[in-house]
Amino acid sequence: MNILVVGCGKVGSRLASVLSRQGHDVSVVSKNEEDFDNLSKDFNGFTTHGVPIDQDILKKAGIESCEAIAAVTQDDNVNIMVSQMAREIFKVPKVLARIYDPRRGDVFSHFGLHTVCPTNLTVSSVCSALTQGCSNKSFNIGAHTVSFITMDIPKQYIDLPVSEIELEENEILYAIKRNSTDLILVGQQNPILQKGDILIFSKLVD
Amino acid sequence: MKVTIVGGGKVGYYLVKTLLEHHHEPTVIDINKKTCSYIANELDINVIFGDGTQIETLDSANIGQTDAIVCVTGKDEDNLIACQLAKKIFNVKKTVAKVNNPKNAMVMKELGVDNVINSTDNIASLIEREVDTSKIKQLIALNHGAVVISEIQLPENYALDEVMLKNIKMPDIFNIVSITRGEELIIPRGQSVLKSNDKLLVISGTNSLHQLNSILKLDKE
Repeated sequence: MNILVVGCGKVGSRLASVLSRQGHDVSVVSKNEEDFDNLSKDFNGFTTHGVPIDQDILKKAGIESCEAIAAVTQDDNVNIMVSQMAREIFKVPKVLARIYDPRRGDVFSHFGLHTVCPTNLTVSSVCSALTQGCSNKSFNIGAHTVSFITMDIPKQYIDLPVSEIELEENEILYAIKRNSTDLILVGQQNPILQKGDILIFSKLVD
Repeated sequence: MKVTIVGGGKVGYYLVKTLLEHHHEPTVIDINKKTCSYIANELDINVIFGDGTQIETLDSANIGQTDAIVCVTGKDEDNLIACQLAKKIFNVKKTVAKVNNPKNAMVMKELGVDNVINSTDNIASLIEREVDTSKIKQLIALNHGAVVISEIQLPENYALDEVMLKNIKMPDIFNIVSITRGEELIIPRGQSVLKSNDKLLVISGTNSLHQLNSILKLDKE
């Protein structure tokens, strides 16, 4: 794939290097020339030095012929602006922006922009590591991250039906693991919880 | 009118003063504490210390109540995002953004900013107007600066003297509105000709102004 990476900091440079190693045609844009030093030695794509929101720089870096663009500069607003330009003006098929501020990320993803929010991801990981100390597996669907979290049944829910469990927003109870062998998918059913049950939640983290 | 200004630098500060003189109610948002203190001390208005591209800051500036948001920071991307957030989340009716890099003017418009102010171009055309080596004098800007009505004085020994308009290749957004020849005002058609010393009233896209010199052969005498 022909991919344009905007921003060559820690994420941008690693992203570009990884994609390049995977065999994609990568072009990197950065307003700081020194940042290109972050790229791995075997990086074999193109680099363009210039202001990322400048159309001429983007054209020089190949935005008109790229199939995907990742806006990962340090500045949320630059990422949002570049993504919008990529989508509306240059009609790039796949556009992704990293946005640190969860609220801004929310707004722009409601307007159709695919966003990745490291803040949300970090908070979620650290929270579950600190509070639950249980396993937490995440995977990506498109630009979203879904986490599965397992938790020993809290005392107050024993002998209550599943519907009594208080859930956070973006969270559903996916299944109950019972007797270390049975997995009851919650779905339409409303089973009564027992001592020893393990709750499996599915949460939309980002 | 309630106006919220994002960016309290030189432009923002003097803009606020002007709005106050015209009896409007400006509010300023700036990300720099010193700037905020300065404005708060000098002018009797609400000053919000914060990042105008953050939803919380816009909220605390009560932007839902404002009639217009004017973004005049030094960064085009910040001006764009603040306008978009104001519009999308708070339904602010009028969004105005200053653009520092003229190349971004079209982009800002396409991405939904109602009024884009291209200060570099404005200054450049002011300079050109004052120095006026070109024979094109800009009179009025229309359509948020995208289109301009200009007056063109054709020289003596004009290169295209007696040439029919239909034989001159015109840019897309262009029309000769009228030709003043001595005492006569002519509304031109394709058969009309241009003559030396004619004064033309022309409507054209701002972007094609620079081409007019060569298209109308104004430089060659």
